[in-house]
Amino acid sequence: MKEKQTIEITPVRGLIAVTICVLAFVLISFWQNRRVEDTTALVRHTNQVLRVVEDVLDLNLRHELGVKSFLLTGVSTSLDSSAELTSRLHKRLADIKQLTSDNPIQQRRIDTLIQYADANQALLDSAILLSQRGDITGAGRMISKDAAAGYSYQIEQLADRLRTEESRLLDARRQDNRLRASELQYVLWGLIAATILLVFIVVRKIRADMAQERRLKTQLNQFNKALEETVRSQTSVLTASEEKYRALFFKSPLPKWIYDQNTLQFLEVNEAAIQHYGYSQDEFKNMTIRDIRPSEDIPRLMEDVEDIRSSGGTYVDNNWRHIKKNGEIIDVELTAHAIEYGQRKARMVIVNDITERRRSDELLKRLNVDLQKRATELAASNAELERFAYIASHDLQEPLRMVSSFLQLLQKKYYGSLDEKANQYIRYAVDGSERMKALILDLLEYSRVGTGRGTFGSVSMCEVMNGVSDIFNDKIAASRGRIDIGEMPVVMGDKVQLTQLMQNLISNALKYHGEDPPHVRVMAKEVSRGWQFSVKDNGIGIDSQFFDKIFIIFQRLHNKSDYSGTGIGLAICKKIVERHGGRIWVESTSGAGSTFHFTIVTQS
Amino acid sequence: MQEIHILLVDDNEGDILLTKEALEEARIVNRISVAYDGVQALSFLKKDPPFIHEESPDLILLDINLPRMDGTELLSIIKRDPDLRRIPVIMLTTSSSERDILTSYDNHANCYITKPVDLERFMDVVRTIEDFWISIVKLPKIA
Repeated sequence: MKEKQTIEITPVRGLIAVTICVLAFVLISFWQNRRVEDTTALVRHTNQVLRVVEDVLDLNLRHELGVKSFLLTGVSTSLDSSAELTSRLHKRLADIKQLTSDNPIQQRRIDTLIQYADANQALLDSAILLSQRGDITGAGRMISKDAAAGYSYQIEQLADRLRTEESRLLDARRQDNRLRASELQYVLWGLIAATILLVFIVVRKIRADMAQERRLKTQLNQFNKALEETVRSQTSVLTASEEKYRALFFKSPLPKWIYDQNTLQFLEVNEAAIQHYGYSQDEFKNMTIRDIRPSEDIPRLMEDVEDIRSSGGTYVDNNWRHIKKNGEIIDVELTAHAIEYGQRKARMVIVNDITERRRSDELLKRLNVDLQKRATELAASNAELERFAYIASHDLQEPLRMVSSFLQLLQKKYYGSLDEKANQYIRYAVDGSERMKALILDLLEYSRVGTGRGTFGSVSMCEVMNGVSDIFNDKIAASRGRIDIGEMPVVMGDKVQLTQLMQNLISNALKYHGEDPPHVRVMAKEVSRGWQFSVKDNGIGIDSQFFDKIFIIFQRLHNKSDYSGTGIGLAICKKIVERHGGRIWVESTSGAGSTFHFTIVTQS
Repeated sequence: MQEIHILLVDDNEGDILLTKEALEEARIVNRISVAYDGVQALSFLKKDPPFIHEESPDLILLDINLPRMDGTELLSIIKRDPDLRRIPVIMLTTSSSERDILTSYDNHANCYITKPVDLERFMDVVRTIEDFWISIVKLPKIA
């Protein structure tokens, strides 16, 4: 929506409006004056016409009287003024014609009047002529002819009409003027009212503006006062903070200094700089920042100084070297800020000695490279080992199978031809190759743990345990044993390996049982970095001196005829647990059962 | 009953002998051809010289570790060949490696069997193979 525009009345605009009003007033008044003058002129004109008409009548009458008295008395002196009167009458008639030249009706009337006056004149002249000849009767006839013609009467009538017309005209003009005057009067009143109103508004406006100005001035004063107050308080704060910054500069544990940007001369140095570089305050103040640079760095320094002069701002660079008084070269990180020092352009420099940091960084880098190399080597050797184990297990089994198969074939084909001893030899040989095969398969498994086979994911240990106890169902039933499984968590791990781990532990727990039927309890509890599982049995137990030995590959505690096994099972367990970031250990008393504990970390 | 022709691909003389022993005990009349490596086996199957007059086998027993061309490679060639792919191929090998098992089935082996160490069980396995693939399974007639 477009906003409606309003014209604000400013004092200047108001004054312009007032001026226009006054000007209009003056112009209208002037014009009205002119009109009044015009009217006056018209009145004067009308009066003149009327006077002339009066004159005409008077002259005509006097002329007639003179003529008539001559005719009656015969005294010729009565005619003395006749000629003069006639000429004056004509002159007057000419005057009147001229005066009413603007009015055709009056002109016509005057023409008629002139005709009548001429006719009357002619009649009177004829009468005079007849009388002078002595024809009194003729003259009397002429006069009566005059009466019959009614010239005088006609003249008077016309004069009356002339007068009436002029009076009417005058009245009409007066009326008209009065009307105009009253209209103008209204306009003038209006103008006066408008002017007064405008003046009133302008005055109010000016007063309002003045009040506003006064208010603003007061506000400004208040602001100024507040500002002064702030400045005053800040000045004191500034003084305090200046103290603080001085302390920060001088007492800082990092070397700091201020140098002149043009001469590069040290202006201020703090305690730490003096301590660190070995120069005294006075020595520093007689030096420039060039003097603490190794000579080969000076060209770069000068380039840098040029750049800084043109750019300003804050500058951070950790690629500089400084020389201490004792000649030792240190790596530094510099932070420089442009500041005003007195009237001089200066820079405040904060120095961070990064010699040690750089040294350890480099060491770390070297170590990392070494580590990377070692990891690559290890990965390669692991892959090699895996390949080796695969080939070994596969290729070792071929001859093994040959040995056992053909011994058995021998026994079968030559049954009856061989004595019992030969049969026993064959049994031992076959048994040996069977165990050899088990060893090879376990070794293969052991070599595979930790070579990245299978991936880590969330594994429900409950599912794992259910699977494992299913495997041993028959064995448990046969030995009348039982497995109790507690609440199992979900962990991050390799499901195949965790299954194998549990399978090995349960297998051991069931295998090494004593007189009583085996009873295995599997529990899990949360520990600080993950979960701790325990597999507790009521078996033959382990002597504490073997607690570490049992986890070493091929270490067996029992005779093969008592308990079969390759001695790899627990080594595989240890390897699996370690791959899951945990550890495995055993608690046991000989003859009183064992508890195998292991942990699985959930966060690294 | 028709004579059964089996192609045994194995480089181990001992295994060949054992397999032959086992098949001899079987009830079904059979004929065994032997190839000692993958290349030879392929020539036999394609009837290239010197095997021009050989008949196509009804069943192939294939070891994995073979000289020149190993069993998995031969398997993949057989199973891509429209003339050969209908012949059942039984992987009969010492390897119990998961990788070998997967590769074999990926190449459409008909079954995978690890040779048992025990002689009796080996004999059983061979007999079972013959019984199943010759007597029970219905195979297409190969011209």
